Amino acid sequence: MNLHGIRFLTLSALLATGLSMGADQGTVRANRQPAGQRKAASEFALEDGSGRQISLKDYRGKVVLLDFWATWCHGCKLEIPWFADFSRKYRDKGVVVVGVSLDSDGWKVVTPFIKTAEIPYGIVLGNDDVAKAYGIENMPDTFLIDREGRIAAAYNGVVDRQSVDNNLQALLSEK
Amino acid sequence: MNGFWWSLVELSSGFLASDEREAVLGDILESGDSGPRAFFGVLGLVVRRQAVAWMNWRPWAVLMAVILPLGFLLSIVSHETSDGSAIYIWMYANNWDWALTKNPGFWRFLGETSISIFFTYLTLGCWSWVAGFVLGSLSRGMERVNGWLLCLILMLGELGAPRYFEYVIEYEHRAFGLARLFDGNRVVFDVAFYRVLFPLIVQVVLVALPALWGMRRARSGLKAGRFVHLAIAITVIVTLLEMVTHEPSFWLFVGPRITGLYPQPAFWNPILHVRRLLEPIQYWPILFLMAHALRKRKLKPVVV
Repeated sequence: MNLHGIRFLTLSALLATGLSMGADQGTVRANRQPAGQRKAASEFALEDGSGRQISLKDYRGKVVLLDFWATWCHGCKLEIPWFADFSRKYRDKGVVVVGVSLDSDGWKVVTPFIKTAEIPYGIVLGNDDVAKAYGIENMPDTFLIDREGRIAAAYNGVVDRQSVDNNLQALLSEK
Repeated sequence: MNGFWWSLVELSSGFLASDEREAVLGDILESGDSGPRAFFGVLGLVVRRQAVAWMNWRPWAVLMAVILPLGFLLSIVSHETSDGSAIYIWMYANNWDWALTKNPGFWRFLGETSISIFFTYLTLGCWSWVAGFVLGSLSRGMERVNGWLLCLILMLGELGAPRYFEYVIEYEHRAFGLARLFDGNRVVFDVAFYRVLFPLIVQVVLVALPALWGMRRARSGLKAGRFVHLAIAITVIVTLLEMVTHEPSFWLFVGPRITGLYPQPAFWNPILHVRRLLEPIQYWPILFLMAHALRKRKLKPVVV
């Protein structure tokens, strides 16, 4: 390829990049539902790795980040450090992060994963009933639950980290 | 003749056989024809030569058996690869925060992701190279035309890929009972770069360029023994089988629409099991190119 060709390709690439950046539709973020329109989150009682039962109602009065994930879901795994960061940052302010694993092989695959990834928040093993109750068809799926136990925001697919952060702060500031 | 017309003359003469091309370019330089006259003269000659070539069954067989199916298949795999990796790249590039690097899981997942993306890209690059190698081996004097045709099919495939994915969602719904609509990861694809430009970059860099490279390599021939030729033929066949069984739905794109029959997972499971065992063979172009480079260096005359 001669110099003209390289210049032409470079200019075209720059132009296309500029046009595509300009054509952004605006990132879709899960909108936080107004308090009056929120629906109650389905109750569940699931066991964690030590056999301790964890119920959603145990966290009434706290803001819950509920993450449905699996060890085979790569996008889910990449979100874990984000959620770990939220857990550390907002734990004392009243945020609880709960990961619901939907691995069909159960603790056999989940326990070693938790150890190597050093996940600092609670992980429970989900089942079909819980998945159905939350309408999980693909993962990851993330829900923000307000202090009253109602779903304030639902994220289908990978989340926008900044949006989750903003929504957590907004939910913490709700009385 | 100015540079613009000369570029057009050179470009169009590339479709002629190399000896004829040199003769034609030499004649043009001697005659002192004007740019447009020289260009349209060469273009007319190219059209006449192509018309004769396409009277034969061979170019049609290559078009129907290699360029069309492999071109469309590669553009679909390319779209899948770019969409899949776009999600992970977005998760890091658009959400970077140095604070996250302190998390032990961060480095582990970054490592896993990088390796996964690397091998996906490597696979696509190797498949494209092999497709180009096969096309180059079968082209015989039609390399330039077939190269352009492949690029055209890749471009059409890029445009048609979303329609194909709609079909796959329908197929998977009927065969596996999966949800019809998955609007997840919109946060990634609402960014035009990942939706529009990134698939194009992946297709150019990992499909078009390796395929043209493979074509060029095949055209320059191979001086090797019968055993090496046999080994290459086997690895080419295995790689092609890997490619065509990667997207089972692709081969049913027309079938179920006519018959209404959707093959069940039991039909594909044994095929998928065998292809998993043969997966490492698809990286043979790397060994081939390395061996070729080493041999070339060895044969290079030593200047004292």
